[in-house]
Amino acid sequence: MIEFAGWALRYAPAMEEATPGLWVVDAASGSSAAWDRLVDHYSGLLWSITRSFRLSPPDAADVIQTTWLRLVEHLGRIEQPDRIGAWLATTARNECLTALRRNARATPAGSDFLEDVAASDPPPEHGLLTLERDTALWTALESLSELCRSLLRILASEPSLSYLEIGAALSMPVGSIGPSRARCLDRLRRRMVGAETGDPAPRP
Amino acid sequence: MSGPPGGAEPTQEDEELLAALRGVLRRVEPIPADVTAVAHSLLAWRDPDALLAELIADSRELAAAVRGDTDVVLRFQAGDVEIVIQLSLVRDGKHRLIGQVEPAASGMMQIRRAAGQSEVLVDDLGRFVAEALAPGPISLRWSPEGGDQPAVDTAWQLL
Repeated sequence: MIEFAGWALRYAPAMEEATPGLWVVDAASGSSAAWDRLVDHYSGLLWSITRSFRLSPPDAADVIQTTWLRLVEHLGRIEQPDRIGAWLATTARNECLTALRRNARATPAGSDFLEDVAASDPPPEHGLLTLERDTALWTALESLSELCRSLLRILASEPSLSYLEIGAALSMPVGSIGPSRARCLDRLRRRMVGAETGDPAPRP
Repeated sequence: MSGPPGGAEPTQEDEELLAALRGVLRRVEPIPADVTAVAHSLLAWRDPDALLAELIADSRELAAAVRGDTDVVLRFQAGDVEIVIQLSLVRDGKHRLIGQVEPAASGMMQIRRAAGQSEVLVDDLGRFVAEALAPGPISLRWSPEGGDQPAVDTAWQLL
């Protein structure tokens, strides 16, 4: 009964306190409820990392699947289960780089793959951006530096992440996240103001 | 949530802007439902009894692996067993895999893909071949003939 009570406390819907370290330990002993919690909790992080690398949807799906499979094979071997978010972020980041290298290999020599990707990243369908403010915000985000785009995407992923996890996702010292966050949000705000008062982005 | 290290306290204005951004990204770039659905199913791959062969050498890490060089060589190790594979891009993004088990032994190599698995024979020199592998995660499961040794799984890689 005690064991059951412990399980119920961990997975009762009312208990929303996130305990990823426990989920790792329980998933390692075969609990699919624990695995589901991990997937639900960290899918937003993994997705935002693939978006920050501007991977195509099929590439993003490959990276995320590979990341989860790496966790499955390592479940009993994770040394610091309570740092699983950082582990997943680091793994996903590395797999994103693998996907980019894979695409570069498949691209004929001479063309600059990375620039092609950046230039061909399509703007969202106009219909998806229901409010003018949405358009301004998304356009402003896309006009920022790569670091700011990545950082803001990851900061905006749900549920919100610890600075340790964000640092792992961006390969960035934890101490510089706070200042970078403030600086990138400031730039985003300036771009939006510029877009509203100055010459707006050309309409599609 | 406690304030971030580094002395930059988030302002109310920053919090509101980030919340607005979160809303936009949720509408414009939602997580595809199938990505999450697949992730939920992947615990089925867990096998606590298999030995994990970790990646110990990866030609993709070499600076010499420039674009145009389409072959990838990966070496995995679990104890005394090593599995080396060479992946060559053939056409339509598909790969041919040529592999070698060391020490050489005959047996069965299972090609594990997210969509399912197939098996190829390993000859008595430890060699095996698999054709037309689509992009995506891949892992191999090595079962030597005789069946008295545990299976060896190579760490999942993105092909």
